[in-house]
Amino acid sequence: MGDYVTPGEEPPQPGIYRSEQMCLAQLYLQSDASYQCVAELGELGLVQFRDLNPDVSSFQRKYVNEVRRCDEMERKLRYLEREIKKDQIPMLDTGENPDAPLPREMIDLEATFEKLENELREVNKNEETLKKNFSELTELKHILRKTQTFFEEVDHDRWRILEGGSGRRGRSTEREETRPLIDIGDMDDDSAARMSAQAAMLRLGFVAGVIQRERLPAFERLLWRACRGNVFLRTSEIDDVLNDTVTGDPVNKCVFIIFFQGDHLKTKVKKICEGFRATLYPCPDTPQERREMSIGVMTRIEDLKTVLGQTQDHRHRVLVAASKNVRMWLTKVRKIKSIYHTLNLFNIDVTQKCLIAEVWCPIAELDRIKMALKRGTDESGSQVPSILNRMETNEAPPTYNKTNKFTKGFQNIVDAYGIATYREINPAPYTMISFPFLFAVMFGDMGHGAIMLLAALFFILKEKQLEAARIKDEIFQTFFGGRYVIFLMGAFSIYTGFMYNDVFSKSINTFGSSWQNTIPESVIDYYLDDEKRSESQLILPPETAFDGNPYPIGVDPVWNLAEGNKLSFLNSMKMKMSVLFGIAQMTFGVLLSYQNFIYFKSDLDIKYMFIPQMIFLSSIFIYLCIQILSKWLFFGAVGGTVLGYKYPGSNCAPSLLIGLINMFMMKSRNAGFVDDSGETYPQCYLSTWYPGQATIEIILVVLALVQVPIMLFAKPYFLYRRDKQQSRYSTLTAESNQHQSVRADINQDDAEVVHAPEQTPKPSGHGHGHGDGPLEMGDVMVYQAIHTIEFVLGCVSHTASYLRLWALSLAHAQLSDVLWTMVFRNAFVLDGYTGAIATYILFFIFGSLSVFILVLMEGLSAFLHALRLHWVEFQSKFYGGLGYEFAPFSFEKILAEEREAEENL
Amino acid sequence: MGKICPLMGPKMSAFCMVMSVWGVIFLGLLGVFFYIQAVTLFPDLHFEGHGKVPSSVIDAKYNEKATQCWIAAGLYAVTLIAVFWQNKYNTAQIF
Repeated sequence: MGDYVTPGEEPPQPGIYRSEQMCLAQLYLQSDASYQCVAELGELGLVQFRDLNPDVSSFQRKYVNEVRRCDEMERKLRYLEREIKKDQIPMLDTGENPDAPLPREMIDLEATFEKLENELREVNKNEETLKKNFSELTELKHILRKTQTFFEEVDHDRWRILEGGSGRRGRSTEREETRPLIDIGDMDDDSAARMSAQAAMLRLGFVAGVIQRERLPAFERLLWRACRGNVFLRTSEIDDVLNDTVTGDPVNKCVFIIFFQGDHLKTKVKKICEGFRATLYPCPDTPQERREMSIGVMTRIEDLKTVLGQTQDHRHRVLVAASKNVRMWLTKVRKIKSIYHTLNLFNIDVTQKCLIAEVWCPIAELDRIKMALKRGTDESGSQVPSILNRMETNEAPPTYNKTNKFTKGFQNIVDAYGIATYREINPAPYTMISFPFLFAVMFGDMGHGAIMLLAALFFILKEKQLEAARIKDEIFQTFFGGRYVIFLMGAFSIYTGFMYNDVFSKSINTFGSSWQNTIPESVIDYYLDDEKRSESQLILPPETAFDGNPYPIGVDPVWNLAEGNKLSFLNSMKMKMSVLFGIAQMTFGVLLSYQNFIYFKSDLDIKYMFIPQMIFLSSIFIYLCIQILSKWLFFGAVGGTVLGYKYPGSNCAPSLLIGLINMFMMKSRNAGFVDDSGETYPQCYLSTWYPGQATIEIILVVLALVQVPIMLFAKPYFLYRRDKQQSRYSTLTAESNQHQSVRADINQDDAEVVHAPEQTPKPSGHGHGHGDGPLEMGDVMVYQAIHTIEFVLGCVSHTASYLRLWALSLAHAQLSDVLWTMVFRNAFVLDGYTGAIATYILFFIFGSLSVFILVLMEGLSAFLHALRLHWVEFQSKFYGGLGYEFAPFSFEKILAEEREAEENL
Repeated sequence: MGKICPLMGPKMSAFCMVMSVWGVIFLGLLGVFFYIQAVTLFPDLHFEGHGKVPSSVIDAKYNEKATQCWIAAGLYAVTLIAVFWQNKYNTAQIF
């Protein structure tokens, strides 16, 4: 099938010159084989599936359950990944790209993930329980240790009260508590009072527990007020930092014990403890029992430590085993999910038990697509071959431009403006050269260009390391993505810097200047003797100082020293140069539109759009370019005879701008620079400067003006006439039957149904329907008027817009000069070692400012202006940009997007 | 080894390395151009007073500025060694 060519199909062209030829194909996939076929197409990444069920909601599609299962698997894998990261286990990322699993392997994956998740959750729950028990036992240990001290203190106080000697001293708590005993003593004899007091003391109750340290002051205050001072509170801080069993955060706690009398106070005290979320622990009365409990608690703590360690080890082993596979599992699950998501776009033919898909694909890759389908069918074990059926459609295909890492940067520049209409000229190949070139015209400096070149070279040579590092900085990503653009920008800037003779605002006298000092030394001495006269500026007269042979390449270095008229000369040169480049690029754009018209067979556009545009452009703007070149070539510093007229000197060089204005005003001007008697005209630069110039210019102006109504009315008129003819013919023409043939290749076990296309494809005619419906004359007229006005006015404004090449070049050169004279030159004012140190310091400042201001900021400015010149001034001449991008179903893209989204979390 | 005299991190020392290399090359070449008395560098010279300056004074001034630039280039070579050591031993390399 490889040598089969559809009749009428054009021969292949270089991939980037136009977008790839695309076709709409119908796939008939057996239900058993559809999964594998889609998997193979996903690995290939060359087909874009259309949604054949746009009206069906997401939850009503056939494979929604499978997509949900994949979502669940993904959730489990993310849970695993989070646990792995929490334990700081390094995850193995081999960059391996496993094939999409088979549907039955999906069940195995589900079981594996279920088992892993359950095991991990169980281990986590056990660990949590163990940690909680450990925490409680630790608290109990501290309580048993601290309460021993508490009870000893209480006993001591008790005996002191029984002695009766120091009952009124100490804290207010003791004073309040012992007052009733004194009252009892007054009514009875001493021995009876002592016995009663002792019996009352023995009936004191207590509770012990642990509370957070922050809550202790409020806790103490509330106890005092609620129990009216009848409780006895003792506290002690726990030195160890315990962990909250719920959140895992460290928390400081205190041991407390509360002594009280009576059950009523006991109830009240317990409620207050619950309110403050204090944990109460049982505590024996006698020291012997407390000691035994403490030993038991210590034993249990040691046992728990052992079990907890083993649990954590087990969890670690589970996670380490899983971490080896999580990346691969995620890749597999994402592939399965994207396959089922794609299968949801298909139509289901229940009678034939097959799925029907429609795809856009490049014609050049049809063989690879068929091979992929065959592989998928073979892997699934199905006996029925998958059928790829090319279809004819009037729908505009998506635009697909093949790129590599070099061309991608330039294609992105073009695509940011608009995706090319299907099969129209792709500006990217021309942008590869013109974009860095126009940037360099604005940025031209050999030093700054070298910096830019070396930076881009570093990115290019360290490409793999920088990609592997996966630096996430957005600015870095932008620079790294455009490294080839930056490389060319740097190279071209070195070239234009050489032409401008500019290295950090200094010139290099490579070939020997054509100018020499012809002012006598006596005149110089005369000016230098007087202080006031020494400020005067002398200008070298061109007639004597210039030796007649221009500097071979670029700008003569003498202009670097010319303070008086340096800007006059450079501005004049750069403005003319900007006009030349601008009109050249615009003309090239119009020529590219001719290529488009030829391709789309738009005869009307060729005759009544392209040709009038070229005539208009040539009559005015290309004529201006010819004048610029003539002025440069024929009018020098020395007088003579130029083009038949006597030329006195440089003061009579014709003024092109005023000449252009006079051309349109059709003013009468003097012919030549001198009159019949040999005297020079007062304003000789306004004269005509070649024979017959006035007549020629009148003809050109009339010719240009005539093109406007042609562009405006000719095409709508002929469309109207053609439409009338077609409407008359259509009643007579019978509908032709669609020819259809089926070819079966038995060897490849494949089949293709080909609908023979019509012999004469219809011209597109910028979207004006021929026979697709009645011709809308109003729309056509409005569209044509807009287009014509845009072109005519656009020529004028775009030519002026290209003057930004001069403006930015001037700005860059002047900024560079200011940086040298205002910053670096100060180092040379000082002498000796001080001067050396000043040079050392000021060079760093000069260098840093050069990089950050002149290379980065000025570079960005020149970049944006070059971008605008390409998007508006150049591409408006030929580029529709009305297409939409080809978005193939590709595992590589899907996984890259998922990974990027994952890293941004 | 441990950090010795940690003055600069990896990015700062890398930037200073680049500036030092640039300084050695740039100031070395600038010294050469001063030595051969490039006309375009004449405005950078600074003379006291006004009036006519003898050629010998101009020659001496050119030579002095050349020496200044070469000394500064030497200082940048020393700086390059220092910041290279900082970049190498104080932190892990970025690239």
